[in-house]
Amino acid sequence: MTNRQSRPSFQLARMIEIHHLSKHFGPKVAVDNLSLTVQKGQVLGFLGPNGAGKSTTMRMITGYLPPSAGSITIGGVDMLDNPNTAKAKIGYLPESAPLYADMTVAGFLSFAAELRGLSGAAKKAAVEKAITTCFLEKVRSQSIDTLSKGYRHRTCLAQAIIHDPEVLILDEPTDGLDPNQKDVVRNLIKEMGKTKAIIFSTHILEEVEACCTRAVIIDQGKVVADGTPDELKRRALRAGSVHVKITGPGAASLAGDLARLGHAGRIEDPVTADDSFQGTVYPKAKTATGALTTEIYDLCRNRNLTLSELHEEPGRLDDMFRELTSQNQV
Amino acid sequence: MRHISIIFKRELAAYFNNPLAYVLIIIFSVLSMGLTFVIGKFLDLNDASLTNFFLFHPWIYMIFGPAIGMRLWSEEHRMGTTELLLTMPISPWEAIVGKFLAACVVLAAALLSTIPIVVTVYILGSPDGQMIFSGYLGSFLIGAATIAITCAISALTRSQISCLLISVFICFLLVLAGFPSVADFLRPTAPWLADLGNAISLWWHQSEMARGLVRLQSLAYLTTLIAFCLYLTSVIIRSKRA
Amino acid sequence: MSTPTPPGDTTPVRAKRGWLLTSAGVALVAGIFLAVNWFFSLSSANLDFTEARVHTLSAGTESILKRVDTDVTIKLYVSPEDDLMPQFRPVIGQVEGWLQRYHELKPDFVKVQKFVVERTSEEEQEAGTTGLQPQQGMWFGIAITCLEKTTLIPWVPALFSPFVDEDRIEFGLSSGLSEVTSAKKKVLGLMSPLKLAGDAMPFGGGGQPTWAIYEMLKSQYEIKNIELTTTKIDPTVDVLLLLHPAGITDEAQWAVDQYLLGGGHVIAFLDPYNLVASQSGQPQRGMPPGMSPGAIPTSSNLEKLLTAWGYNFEGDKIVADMGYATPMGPNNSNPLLLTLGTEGIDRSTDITKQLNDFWFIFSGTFTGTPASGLTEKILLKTSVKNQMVETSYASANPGSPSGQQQMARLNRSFRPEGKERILAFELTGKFKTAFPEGKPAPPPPAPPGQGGGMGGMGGLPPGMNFGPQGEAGEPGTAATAPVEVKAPEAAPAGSPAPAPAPAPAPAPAPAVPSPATPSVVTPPVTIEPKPADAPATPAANPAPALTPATATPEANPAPALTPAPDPALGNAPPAPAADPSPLLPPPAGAAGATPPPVAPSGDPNAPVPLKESTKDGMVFLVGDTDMLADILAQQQILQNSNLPFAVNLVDQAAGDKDLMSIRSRGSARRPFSTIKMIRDEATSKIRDQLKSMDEEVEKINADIASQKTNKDRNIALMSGWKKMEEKSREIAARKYQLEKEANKEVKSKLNFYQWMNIILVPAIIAGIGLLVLIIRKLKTSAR
Repeated sequence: MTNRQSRPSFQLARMIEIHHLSKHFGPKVAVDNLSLTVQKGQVLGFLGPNGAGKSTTMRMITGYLPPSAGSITIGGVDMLDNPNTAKAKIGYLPESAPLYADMTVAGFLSFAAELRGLSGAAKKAAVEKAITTCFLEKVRSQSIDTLSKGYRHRTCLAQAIIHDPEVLILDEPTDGLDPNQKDVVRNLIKEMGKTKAIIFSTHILEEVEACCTRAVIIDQGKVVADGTPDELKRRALRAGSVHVKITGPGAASLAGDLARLGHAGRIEDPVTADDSFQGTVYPKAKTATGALTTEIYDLCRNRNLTLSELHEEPGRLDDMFRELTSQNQV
Repeated sequence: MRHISIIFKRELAAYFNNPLAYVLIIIFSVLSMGLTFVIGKFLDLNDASLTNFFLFHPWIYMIFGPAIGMRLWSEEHRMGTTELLLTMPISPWEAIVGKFLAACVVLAAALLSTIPIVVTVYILGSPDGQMIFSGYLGSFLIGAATIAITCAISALTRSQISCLLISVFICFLLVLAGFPSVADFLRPTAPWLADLGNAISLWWHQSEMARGLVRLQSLAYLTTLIAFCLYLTSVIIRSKRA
Repeated sequence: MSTPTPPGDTTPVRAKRGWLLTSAGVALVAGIFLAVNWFFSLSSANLDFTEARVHTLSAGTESILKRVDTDVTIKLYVSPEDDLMPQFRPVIGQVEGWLQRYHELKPDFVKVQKFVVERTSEEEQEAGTTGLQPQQGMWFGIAITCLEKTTLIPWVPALFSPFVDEDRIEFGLSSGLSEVTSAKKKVLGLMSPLKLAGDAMPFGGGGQPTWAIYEMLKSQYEIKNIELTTTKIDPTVDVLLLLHPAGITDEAQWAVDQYLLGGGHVIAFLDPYNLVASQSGQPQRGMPPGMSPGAIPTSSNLEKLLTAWGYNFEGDKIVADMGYATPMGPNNSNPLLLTLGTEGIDRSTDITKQLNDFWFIFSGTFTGTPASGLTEKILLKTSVKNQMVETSYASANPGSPSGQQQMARLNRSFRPEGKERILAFELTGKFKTAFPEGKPAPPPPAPPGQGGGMGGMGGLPPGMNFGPQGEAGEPGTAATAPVEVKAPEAAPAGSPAPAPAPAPAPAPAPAVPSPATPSVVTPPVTIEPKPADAPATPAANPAPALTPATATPEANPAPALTPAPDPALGNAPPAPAADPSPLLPPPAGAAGATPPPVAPSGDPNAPVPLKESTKDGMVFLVGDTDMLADILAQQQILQNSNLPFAVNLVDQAAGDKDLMSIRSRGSARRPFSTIKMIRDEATSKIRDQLKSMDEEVEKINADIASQKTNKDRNIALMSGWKKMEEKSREIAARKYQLEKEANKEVKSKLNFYQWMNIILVPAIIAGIGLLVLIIRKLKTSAR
C-alpha cells in the first residue's frame, strides 16, 4: 500500500519485519507467533533443528506460502497486500536450489533477470555480474542438467542476487558444498551483508560465527534465542565456567574455599587427591568475564598453591543450541 | 502481459529443446493422417471435405492433450522450481496462462503439421474453405480444452505419469459423453442425460464444428471450460501451498 | 523488535487478494461457469462456416417470413422418444432447432408448439384431426396452420438424409409457410404423355406412384393438365411446362406458339430417347391379357417452334460425354449417363447458381443461334469431350455381352467433337410465330390407340443401379434392356389405351420419324410374362427394368420393348371413338395419354393469330426428360439437383423466387473431381490400345464378307472363326492386362497422395527436431 511505501526513510532501514507470524498445516503448528526484524547491514543466521519452522518461515517471508496469521513487511511493503512489489525486493535461494534443468546457465539467469523486470543492456549486465560474482564463467553456456552440485547451488544463488535485491533469503546456501565452495559462499554472504538485509538458515554453527552479525535460534516455530553470536555463546550453560587443576598442600580441601568465592557458584566434577584438586567452577551468575578467574587466581596465589591448569570456558554455540533445543524436545 | 510472454517463451523453449514436442507432433500427425487415410479410407469416400478427418481428432486429443500438458506443473513440482517461480514478482495466473499458451502453440504446431491433407483436398476437389476453417477452429479449441484439463490435474501431482493417466481418463469421459452410440444408449432411459452428454462432450462440439456449424454454445462451452480449468489450476496451486 | 503491531496475536490474514481462490470462490466460479453454459445451451445462435450457409435460414425463408402478417402456428407432433426408432430420435432436436430459428425471426407471428403424442391420448386425437397419420405407429409430423389453411409435413425424418449434411427441412417448412400464407396458387399448365400424377390402375392392380417432381410442383402450384392435341392454351396459365411432349400435334404447337406470343412462359423438357416412355409398352401387373398398353414414342421434339427460334434438336441422337461420364465401377464409366461438373453449370443465374451434380441420361442437345429479337442464355452444357451417337446405344444392355460389346465399340470409336453442346438454355425476348401461315390444319384421324402410354414406370436401364445396396440387383443379371428404339415405333399402333378413358388418337406421324435403317433389328424375343414374379409393382421396386426376366439373363439379348406380335392386338376392345371424356377433366395425370378428339379447326370466335410477341416471352429448353424421373432424380445415396433445377425453372418462369434459393441448398456434395480425371486418363490409354486390335477384328470380318462364293465364304468363315476366337481371346486377355495396369496406375497415384500425407510432414519434423536437438546438445554439453 502506498502509505506503507511512503514511510519515513529511517524506518526503511528495517528491511524485514515479521510480526506475530503463524503458520498451521492442519492441526500442526509450524510457525508459532513469530516476530522478527532484520535491518539493513545485518546478516541473520537462522538456526534451529530440522522441522523447527525455518524453511516455512522463509517461505512465508518470500511470499511462497501464505501465512495463517501475522504480517510480513519487506522494505516497508506488505507482502500480503502488495505481493509483487514486496517480492521484487527479495532474492531467494530455496532449499536444495531448484533449477530448470533444461536451460543453460546463462539462459536461466537471463530468464530470472527478465522476470525481475530487467531487459536489454541492463539485463545483460546483470547476468554478467551475477556470473562473475558466483564464479560461473566456466559453465555459462552449459545445460544445467550437466552441472555439478556446487555449480547448481551457485547458479541458484546467482539467480537470487541477479537484481541486486535489498533483501536476501538463503535457505541453507552451503548445503552439500565442499569446504572450498562453502568458503566462497560464506565470503559472498559476508560481503553482501554490508549493504543488504540477509537471512540465511544453516545447520553449521561455525558458519554463523563466521559471517553473521546476528543469530536467531528457533524451535517448534518459536524464537528461543536472539542475539549476536557472542552473546548467544555466553548464554551457554558452561560459558564462564573455569576449569582448574590446583596442586599443593591443602589442595584437597580447597573445594569449599572455591565455593565461597564471591563469584563462584557450584563446583562440578571435583577430583581431590592428596595434594591436588581438579574441577570446574561455575560462576554464580553470568557476570563479567574474568572475575571468577581472577578470584581463583588470587586465592591460589594467596595460599601458595600451584595453579597448574586454569581455563575459562568461553561458551560454545553448539552447546547453547543443544541446550535450547533439546529442552523443548523433551 | 510481459510476464506472461516471458513465461510463455521459456515454456516454449522447454518444449522444443526437448524431444517431447517433436515426438508428440509426429505422433499426432501420423495418427491423424493414418486414421483418416487408412482406417477412414479417405480417398474412397469421394468427399472433398475434412469432416471425417476432424472426427478422429477428439480421440487423438484424449491422449495427445494430456501428453502435452502433463509436464506443465508436475515437472515444476518435481524439480521444486514452483518455489522459484512463485517467489518471483509475478502473479500465479500469469505463470498459468503463459504455460497454457505455450502448450497451445505445440497444439497449433501439431495441427499445422496436417496441412498436407488440406492441400490434398484442394488438389483432388474443390472443398469448402470456410468449413475447413471451422473444423480447425473446433479442433484447436477441443485440443486446448484437453490441455487446460491436464493443466489443472498436473498442478495436483508431481508425477507426470499419474497426471497423464488421470487426465486421459477425464478426457476420455468427456469425449465419450456425446458419442452417438452412447447418446443413443442413454436417450431411451434418460433423454436429459443424453442432452447433457452432448453439451459437455468434446466429440459432439467437434462434430458440429467439423461440418461448419459453430454454435455459440460450443464457443461458450469450450472457452469457459478452458477458463474454468485454468482457474482451478490456480486454486489448486494455492491450496497446495496453504 | 520494536513494533507497534496491534496486540491481536492471531489476527487472521486479511485475504484481500485471495478470496477468489477459497472454497467459496470456487463454488461461485463453478456456479457462473454452469450458468453461462446453461444460458448458451438455450440459444440456437451460431456462426455458419459453410460457403452455402447450410446452417442458416436462407434469404428466401427470410423473405417469406417477412411477408407473414397473420398468426402462423407450426405444430410438431412427435411420439415419445421411447416409441421412436433410435435413428429418428436425434432428428427431434434438429427439427426443434430449425423451428426455433423460424420463431426467432418472426416472434410475433410464428408460433411453435411441440406435442408429445402418447398413444390414445388427447394429443393423438388432435394430431389425427390435422390430417397427420402415424407411420408404423410413430408420430413425427408437422402441421403448419394459418387461418383455415393447413399444410402438412407428414413424416419429418424423410427430410433428413443420413448421407448428406444438409437437410431439406428448411425447404419443407418454408414452402409450407409460403403455401398457407399466400392467397392463391399460380396455375401451371402441364403437357405430357407421361403419367406424372401416377394412377390407380383399374381392376385393382397396383398403380404407378406419383412422380416426386409432380408432388413438388403440386404443393406450390395449381396444376392444370393440357392435352398434347390442344388447340388453345388459356392465357390464365402462368407457366406452361412440357415434359417429353412426344406426339404433340402441329395444332398444339401452334397453341403453344400463340400462348408464348401472348406473353406466356414456356418450359420444355424434350428427349431423344425417353426411358420411361421406352418402358411404357411393357406388360404390367394387373393388366388383363389383351389389355396390353400402347407405348409412348421415346423421342420428343418441338421441331416447328425450335426452327422458328433458330434451333435444332436432334431427336435421334443422344450425347455421349466422356468428360462427364458417370462412373459405374472401377474402370467403368457410362458416357451416356452424364454427371455434370461445375464447369458445365452457369453460375450467373439464380436458377443454377447454387446447384451441383446434375444427372442426365440419354440426353439430346440443342444447336443453333437465336433468331433475331431473342437472347440466349446457356444454363447447362456438356464438356468438350462429347459426341452425338445413335439412340441405339441407349437401348443396349450394359450387362449383356452384346451390350458390353456395344459400349466397348462406343468407347473405342469415340471421337470428341471438341466443342461444348447445350443441354439446357433460356431464350428471352420478342418471339416471332412459327406458323406465319396461321393455324395448321388438323391431321387426319388415325387408327385408335396410339396414345395411352404407360408412363411413370421410371426404370433405369439395367446395370445402372446406383448406390451400394445392390437393391437393383447385379448388372449382369439384367436382361430386359429396352432394345432397339426403332422397333417399338412400328408396333404400338394397335395397342389400346388402358386408361379409363381411351380415346381415338389423332395419331399424327411420329414426331420423330426414325430414319435409321431397321435392318439391325434382331427378332424380338418375347418374354413370357410370369404373372407370379414378373413385374412387381414399380412402387416397390426402384429398378423395375430388372424384374421381368431375371431368370434368363443371357438368353435375351434383345427383349423387345414391344409386347411383340401381341395377342393384345387382337383382343383389345376397340376404343370407343366418340368418348366424351375430353370434355371432362382428364383423370389425374392422364394428360397426354388420352388425346382429345380432333378439335374443330375453324373456330369462328378465334382471335386473329398473333404474329409476334406482344410482351417479352420466356422459354426454357432442356434436352432430357428422364432427369426428372424418380429413379434418376430421387437418388437417396447420391443426391443430385435435377428436381430443384426443374422447380427453379418453374419458379423463375412464374416469377416466384423465394423458394428457389432454399431449394437449391439440397446438395453440397463436393466429390474428388481429380480422382475421376486420373481414372479417365488411365482408361483413355486403354481405349487407344484396344482400338488397334478392334480394327484387326473388323478386317477379318471384312475379309469374310469380301469372299465372292459361298464356298470361299465358308472357308473364310471357318478360318475367320478361328482367328476371331484367337483374337477375341487375345483382346480379352490384353484388356484385362491393360485394365489391371490402369488400375495399378490409379492406385499408385492415390497411394502416393496417401503416403505423402502420412509421411512427409512427420519426416520433416523429425529432421528439424534432430537438427535442433543435436545443435543444442553440442552447444550446451559440459566440456
